[in-house]
Amino acid sequence: MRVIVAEDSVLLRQGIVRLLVDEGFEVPAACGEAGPLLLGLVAEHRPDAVLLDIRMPPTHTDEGLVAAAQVRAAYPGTGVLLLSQYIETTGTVRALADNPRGFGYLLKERVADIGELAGALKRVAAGETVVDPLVVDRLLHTPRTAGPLDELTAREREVLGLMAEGRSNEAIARQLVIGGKTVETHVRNVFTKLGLAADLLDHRRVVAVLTYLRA
Amino acid sequence: MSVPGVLAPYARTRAWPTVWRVDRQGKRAPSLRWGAAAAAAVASGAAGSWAYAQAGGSGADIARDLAVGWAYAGAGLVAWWRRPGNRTGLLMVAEGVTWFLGNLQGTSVPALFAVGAWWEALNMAVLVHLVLAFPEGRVASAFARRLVVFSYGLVAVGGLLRTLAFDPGISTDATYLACHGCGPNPLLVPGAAHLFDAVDAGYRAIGWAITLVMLAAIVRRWRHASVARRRALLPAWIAVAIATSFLLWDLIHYALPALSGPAESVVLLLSDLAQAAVPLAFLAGLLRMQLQRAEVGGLVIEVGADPDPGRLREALARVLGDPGLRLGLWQEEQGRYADAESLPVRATGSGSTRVDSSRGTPLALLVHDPVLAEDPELLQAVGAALRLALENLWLRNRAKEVTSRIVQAAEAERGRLERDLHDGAQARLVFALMSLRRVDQGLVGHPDLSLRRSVAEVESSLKLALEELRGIAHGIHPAVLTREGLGPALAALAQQAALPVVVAADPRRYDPVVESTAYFTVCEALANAAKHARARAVSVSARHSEGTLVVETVDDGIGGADSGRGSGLRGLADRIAAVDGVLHVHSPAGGGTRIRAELPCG
Repeated sequence: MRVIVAEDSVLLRQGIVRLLVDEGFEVPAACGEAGPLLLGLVAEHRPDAVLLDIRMPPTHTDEGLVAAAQVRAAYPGTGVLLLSQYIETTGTVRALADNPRGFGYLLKERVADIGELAGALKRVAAGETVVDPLVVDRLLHTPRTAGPLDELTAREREVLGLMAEGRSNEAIARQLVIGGKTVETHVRNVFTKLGLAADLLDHRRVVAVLTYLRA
Repeated sequence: MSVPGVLAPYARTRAWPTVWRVDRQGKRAPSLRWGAAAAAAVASGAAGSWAYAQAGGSGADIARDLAVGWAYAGAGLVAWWRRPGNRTGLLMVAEGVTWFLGNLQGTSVPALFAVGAWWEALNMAVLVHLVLAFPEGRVASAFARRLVVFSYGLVAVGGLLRTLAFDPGISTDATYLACHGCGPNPLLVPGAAHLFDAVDAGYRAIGWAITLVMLAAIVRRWRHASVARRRALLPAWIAVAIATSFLLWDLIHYALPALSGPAESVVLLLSDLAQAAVPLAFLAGLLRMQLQRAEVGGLVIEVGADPDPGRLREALARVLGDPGLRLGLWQEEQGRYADAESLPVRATGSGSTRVDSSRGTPLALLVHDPVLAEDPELLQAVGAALRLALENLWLRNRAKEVTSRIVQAAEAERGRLERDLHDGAQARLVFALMSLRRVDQGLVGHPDLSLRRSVAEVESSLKLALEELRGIAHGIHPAVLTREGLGPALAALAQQAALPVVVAADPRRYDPVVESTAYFTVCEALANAAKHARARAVSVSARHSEGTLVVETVDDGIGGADSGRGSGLRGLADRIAAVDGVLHVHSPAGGGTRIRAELPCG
């Protein structure tokens, strides 16, 4: 699997590339900016996924987000995994809602866990959606006045959280060590209690859940 | 007495600019000259009244006469006392003293009769002097000076010639006195009495001519005068009108005695009453400028509130009574004074006053009616008020400028610090974590299990450090605020809050400093709501209204927050004031807390 890395810290960039190579990824190119250079590299190498930091030179604000949108518009088949120093729900969730397919958002320090990073890259490359567990955690634990979330059982909340992270039913079943049918029941219950359309799948389901949690 | 002799005392007053001197105890005491003038006025009045009585004047006549003379002397003494630098007071006293000279013709003492007959019209010459010298106290033009000298000369020479031919026994109606048994006249030249009518007619005619010339001179001055000067000249006008009417009556009386006979007493009364009012009018005109100084205090209050150059000029014009006043404020870059329309303002001789700052640098230039230079104290007071207002304005602008620079610098510094943490420390920590993971991989299957445990401990330590670092960096300057603005930043804040927070924010961007101030205002308000107010829910709104960002945080807690006590709220007030904003804290006990910040945002 081919991945292009865009990270402005040389140290981190080299560290990430080495980790990915060790893990069996092919990294045809890596760069320290999110502008035309990155787009050129993507055009040249046509990677399966691009791993990039949200904050990139020159302004260190939203260069990564802009580049992500450009890459995904030009190469819909290329997955994009964004790294962020902070758990930000607004801008990233909005970006997700615009085009959730093959898009992921992870907290920066997750790169240290190669298993997690590799899994996320593979999922975005496959068109799935990845949302950092901390983002979901924050959304789930935003203090709010009484509402339908209170009616969920502990297990249903767990399932809701994994759905928000972009996990499929099978992944949820694996994670919670329960049967596929049970997961389907939990998912259906959650959707009913929250008043969401029950037939949503993959990234559309993620967006619906995140949108619900943000409201 | 020669004419220079008459003028000499005025010339000498130059050496004594103040009538009041300060003695060792620091008390003000009238000068000898002032006292002597007062005594002369009293003595002259007494002598005049005695002489009037000798000529058979009634009590009413004497009282009327005394009233006019002493009105001049009294008003003159007051004017002299209040405006020591101005010779108008002295001239008025002189008018009051000479007023009574003609009465001396009523006595049977030959020497006194001679003095009275000779100097009867001296007060008219003094009046000419007074009118032409008013309000500055000195005769400005060479022509007017010649006219004054000529008037005194006419009285000295013409009066003498007339007296030489004046036989009171023959010309019984030559004076305003019912002269029975006046004289004799020791100066009468034997055989000259038949010339009296001709000399008298010539004397009066020349007096008339002088009056007309003076009238013309004053009309000319009036036409060229500003409003301020016209106001000051008004008493002189009244004096001229009365003197003219008096002379007119005199002419009628002289030419057609039969016609004026029945109305004589009425005209005389009115004339005298009006005459008595003249010195008061002079005094009022003279002191009016002093009253203006009292208005300067009001000026300070008025311009202190809003020192806008246009309004400043208007206020100054009003206080100085000079609508044509121009105010030039010093423009450092151009090195000149400019008015509210940016037109250059230049100094013009006596008609301009420079106002410098307390450090000696130029502040402003007032170009005003030259007549105002006559009242240096008023100009000084106005200058002081102007200096106060402008320095106040300068300091305020400077304070605002400096505060704004400091706030911006602090804001930029926070942003830089946050980025440094992100680019430096955080990247290194993540890298360390990555390396540690490799170490951990390498230790798989290692016989010493404690090694892997240590690695796990270091890893959790590193993760904690990363988390703390994230919190610190976010607290210093939230990246979302820079990237997405106030609304999303407040929404993010609401998610992390310890209690339910509803956010309603207009989706728009503001100046970074304004956004940051608004953000930290809400942070502080939320902290207060969570920690002290025991609130159950908070609503936050950020709305833009007419150039102002209004950020309001309302909770349903116990209230009682005091911006004066809590250091958090006080710091907040300072922070908001630094961007020219206003903080309102409404927190009645038991009634929740409403924290409202109004931030100007262009």
